Amino acid sequence: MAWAGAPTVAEFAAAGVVRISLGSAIAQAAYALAARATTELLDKGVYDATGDGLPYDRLNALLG
Amino acid sequence: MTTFAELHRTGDPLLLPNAWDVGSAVAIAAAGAKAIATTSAGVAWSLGVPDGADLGAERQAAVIERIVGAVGVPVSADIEAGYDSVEATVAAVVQAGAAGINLEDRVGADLLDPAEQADRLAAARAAGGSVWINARTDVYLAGSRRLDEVQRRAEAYAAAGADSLFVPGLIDLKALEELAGGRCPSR
Repeated sequence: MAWAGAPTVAEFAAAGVVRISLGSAIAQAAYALAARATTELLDKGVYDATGDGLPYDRLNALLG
Repeated sequence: MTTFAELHRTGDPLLLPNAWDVGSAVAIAAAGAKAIATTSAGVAWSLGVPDGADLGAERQAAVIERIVGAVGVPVSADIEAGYDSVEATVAAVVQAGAAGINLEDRVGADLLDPAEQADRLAAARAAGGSVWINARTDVYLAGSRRLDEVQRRAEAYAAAGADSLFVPGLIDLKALEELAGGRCPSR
C-alpha cells in the first residue's frame, strides 16, 4: 500500500512487489476537497477549489 | 480479457486504485485502471459508519455488486476481517462479482493468532473458489513491526490458500524484496 511520499512504482516493481494499491488515500483526498471547497465558500466567498472537477456530462455518461 | 490473477506480475505490478462507491469506481476505470479494489474505510464512510466497525457482509456485497455492474474491469473487495462469518462474507462478495478479496488478520486492536488466521483463510478459499485471496497482515500497523513475524505469517497464510500477502505500513524496499522472494509474494 502506497501513499504520498512512498517509493515510486518503479522502485516497488524492482523490489518484486506485484500489486500496489492506495488504501483509503483517494477517498481521503476526495473528502478533503469537499471540506476545502466548503471552507472556501464560507470563509473566502469564492469557489475555485471545484475548478478541476470531472465534467458533468462525462461523469454522467460513465454511468449511462 | 486478462484475468485478475494474470495482472499480478513480477516486474510489472498491478496498479490498483481504490474506489468506495460507483462514481469513484467509474472515474477510476475511465482513467485507465486495469482493475479496481475497494477501500473498506471509504465504503464505510460513504455509508455513514466508521471503518473497523461492523459494516457487514450484506452492505459490503451490495456495494461490490453495484461497482461490478458499472465497470468492465475486475473488482477486488476489501472485506476487512470478514465480519460475522468469513465464509458467508466471501460467498456474498464472490456472488456479487468480486474477482478478489482482502482478508486481514486483525479484529479490533488485536492481531489474531497466525494459526487462527490460517484457518480463516482456508475457509475463505473453500467459500471463494478461485477468487484471488490477498492476505493482509497488520504486523506493521498494530503488531510487532518485525519482518520475521511477517515471514512466518506469510508461510502459514500461503499454505492456507492465500495468493498474495499485503503488509500495510511497510514500504521499506529491502524488506519488501525479501518478502517478494518468499512463498507468498508481497503487495
